[in-house]
Amino acid sequence: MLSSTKKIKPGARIFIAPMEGGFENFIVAGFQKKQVPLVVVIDRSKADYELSGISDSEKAGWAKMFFMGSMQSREEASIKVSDLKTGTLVFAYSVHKGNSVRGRQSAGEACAKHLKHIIE
Amino acid sequence: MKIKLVAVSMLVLVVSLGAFSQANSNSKGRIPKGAKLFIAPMPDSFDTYIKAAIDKKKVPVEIVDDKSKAQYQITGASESQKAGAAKKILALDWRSTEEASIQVANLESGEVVFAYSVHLQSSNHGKQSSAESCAKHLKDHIR
Repeated sequence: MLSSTKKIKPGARIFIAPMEGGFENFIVAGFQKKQVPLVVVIDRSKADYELSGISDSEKAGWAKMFFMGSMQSREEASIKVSDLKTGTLVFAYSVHKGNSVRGRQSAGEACAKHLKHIIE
Repeated sequence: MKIKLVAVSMLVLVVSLGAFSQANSNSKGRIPKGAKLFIAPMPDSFDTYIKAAIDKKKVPVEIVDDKSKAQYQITGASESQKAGAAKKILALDWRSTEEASIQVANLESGEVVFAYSVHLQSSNHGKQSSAESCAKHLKDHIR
């Protein structure tokens, strides 16, 4: 069972695992923008939690531009946060944006915003 | 007597609040001026654009080529998409779409002290614009 009731304490140390296309950088930037009260570390052994995930991006094709008048990309991302001591999953979230105004930045910020909600 | 007590309590409260906010701002870990910065290789050689942008925006840090001599490390990713035929014909826009994200980590503590991402739908100067945006915001984070 996903411990959706489990909260992460502010100031906890979190390691963000490398993701395809460098999406981890967008997640960290999202943390800063959304002021997520966690300390991001680059060394996994110093972390209490680990965030891992996957993302996918698709640029607008000519049909979308012609029929929909939209040049914005479609973004998809999914992340999970696990407690490195207990090995339990404490948070998971996925986002899909059909028309992402700021591409991967928007997806990264959405992940950060929702993660912030479970920090007590 | 009561007034004095209230005044002293208020003073103590104000001083402790000041100390708390100071501690908070310190924990955010601003980068000191003149800090030695190593820029890790990035896909599409975006690191070279970052170096050029740091120079152009006069960011007060020293860039080193040897990671062992650095105090901070910049890592990041970028993506560039040239304007396709549809964008050129329908939007009359020849400019590329740029995306970049960087993070700066303190190599001693292992903590990330700064992170920033940028998305430019129509970038006038391609990767150069996104790199300069990163450098500009990094500069704001240096005390």
